[in-house]
Amino acid sequence: MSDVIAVEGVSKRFGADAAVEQASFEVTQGEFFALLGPSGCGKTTLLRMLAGFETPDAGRIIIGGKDMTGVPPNRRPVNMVFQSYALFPHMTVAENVAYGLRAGGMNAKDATRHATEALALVRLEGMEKRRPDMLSGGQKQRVALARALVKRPKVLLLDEPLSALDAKLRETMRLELVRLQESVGISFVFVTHDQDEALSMAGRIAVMEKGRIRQIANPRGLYETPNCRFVADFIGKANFFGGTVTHQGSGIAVVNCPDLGLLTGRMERSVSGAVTLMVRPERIRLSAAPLTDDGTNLQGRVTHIAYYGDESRIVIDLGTGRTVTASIANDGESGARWRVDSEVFLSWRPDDALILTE
Amino acid sequence: MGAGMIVRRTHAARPLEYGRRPWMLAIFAANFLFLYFPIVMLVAFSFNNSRRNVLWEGFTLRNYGLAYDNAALHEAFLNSMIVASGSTLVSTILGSALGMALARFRFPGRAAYESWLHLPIVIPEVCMGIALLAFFALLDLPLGLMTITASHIAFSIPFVAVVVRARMQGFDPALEEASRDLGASDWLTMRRVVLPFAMPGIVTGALFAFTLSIDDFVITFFTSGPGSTTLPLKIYSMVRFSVPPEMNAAATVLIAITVALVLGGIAIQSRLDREARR
Ligand SMILES: Nc1ncnc2c1ncn2[C@@H]1O[C@H](COP(=O)(O)OP(=O)(O)OP(=O)(O)O)[C@@H](O)[C@H]1O
Ligand SMILES: [Mg+2]
Repeated sequence: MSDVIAVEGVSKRFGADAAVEQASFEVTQGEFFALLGPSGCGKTTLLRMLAGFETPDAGRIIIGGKDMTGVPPNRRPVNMVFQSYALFPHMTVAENVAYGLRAGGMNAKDATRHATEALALVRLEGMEKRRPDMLSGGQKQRVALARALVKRPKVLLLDEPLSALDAKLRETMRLELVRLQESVGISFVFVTHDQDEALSMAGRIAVMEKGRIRQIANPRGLYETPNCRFVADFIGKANFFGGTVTHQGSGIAVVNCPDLGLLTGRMERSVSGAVTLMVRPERIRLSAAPLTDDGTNLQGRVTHIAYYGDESRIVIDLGTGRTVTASIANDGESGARWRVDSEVFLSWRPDDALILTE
Repeated sequence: MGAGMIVRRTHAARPLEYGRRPWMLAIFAANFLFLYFPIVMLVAFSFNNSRRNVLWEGFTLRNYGLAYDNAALHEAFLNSMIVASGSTLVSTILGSALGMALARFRFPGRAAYESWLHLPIVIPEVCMGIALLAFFALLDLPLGLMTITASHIAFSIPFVAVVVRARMQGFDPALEEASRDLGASDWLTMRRVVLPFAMPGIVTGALFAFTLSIDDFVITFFTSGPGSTTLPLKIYSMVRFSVPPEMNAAATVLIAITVALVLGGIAIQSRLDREARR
């Protein structure tokens, strides 16, 4: 069995509010798994249940094939990297890292040797004698990582470990964390509310909303085939059109949108009734004259252009009080083509839009 | 346009700028003199080479020798030390546990409990003395070092608890979780993580308890029995009619101990503040 963690229908309430509801997922050996969701959706609570700091009201957590019900945090084969790092202020860096080994009964000499190795792994050689208050944020972060990794846990739990770092360092640490995870081969469960972080680092991502897991997929799957409007909206940008299905066949459905007419999109499974059609901004093609192919063709007027350097987002008024956002790459040609108030034709191929039923 | 826009190099003395009002400085000086003159005199005359305490006759350490040779004074000093050590030990342990519990746990009625805890700090000492005396009488306990120590423990606990609680307010609960997460038992977490953090508060609390105990008069007066005279009680009984110079010496020793302990406490406190600011 290669699942190191199995979460089975776990729920947790605080008073009347459900912080986590019926969460189920598995994490496999050596996987980088992310829990992603907006603030307050229950990510930390779920992670703390894995660590043993909170007790589920319902469901089971199985780690390394063993039911963890009733097992206290100090006897679980997982370790946690805290958001505030939680380094022991009165101990040196080396003592911090050796702490878990000493608590586990290892003798001082071996513990120090392992601690030194772990510090080398996170590239902190020569910092052994320092105290945490003499370290930068990034260095503290690495000590916290070394301190948890030196215990060789089955799973490493990380609660927004990068959120306390400045933007530039955050980028570097992303790469470094992925490198570290690959080199130690330990499964990571990584909590974040930053979709870029999750998309760029994780192998699989569970997207949470109000205590529920809405979808579990790899980054491409989440972005290209979200299973509901919440996920489509949370991951990246999206345009939504509500309507009713009029025809369907061979993976394509036609949706009648009251103010725009017939729109086409791809469907994951057979659909009917009221649906939402979703198009990503970069899948919308803009042109000065109508394109004559089998896709959806609409017409509008540019109301706003936002320049982002690598791309520009163009807001188009479709004349029915509805606006659509398209994005174009600033590659030197298309970038400068549109002006505010330009008349523009927009279109997408059926494969570039997705029909959502929730 | 607001008055704040006008930049002036000098301004009128604000209400709390004592230094800029001469009459305030005068009050300051008078206060200082009033507070410390008797103490300075006391210390100075402990070195006075004269049997009568009014004229300076020259420097001597003889009074210290006399005080040291005074068996009753000696015994009183020992009693004070026994009471202070015992009550400091017990009140530090109980007060620290209480302070930690208050900082850490939420339990029903915590706010009420905290207010009750502060009561011995504000209640008049006479009342507390009478209450304790009545209590010991009720239990039929013979008055002596035991009852004095118990009383000192009772009034020291709140002080220790308040100091330790203040220290633990700055404790990040994640540290405790991190320790547990790394495989440490509750006991090991307590010893290796929580106690080292609390220690400066505990030491300050202990110093506090010791100084409170060693110079306590009122409560000790009510709860002492035959043969359990402490230093402050002894000094008082010896100076009721005249002040023999060895009393000055004994009192100076008491002052020195108290000041040393308080300075120690302040040193720890300021090191903590520096740490906290980093
Ligand atoms: N100890 C607690 N007592 C009461 N309510 C709690 C407790 N911990 C969390 N909650 C509530 O449970 C819900 C989920 O909290 P949680 O901390 O898991 O969210 P999160 O997804 O980690 O959010 P964030 O991104 O802001 O860290 C929130 O509504 C929160 O207020
Ligand atoms: Mg959180």
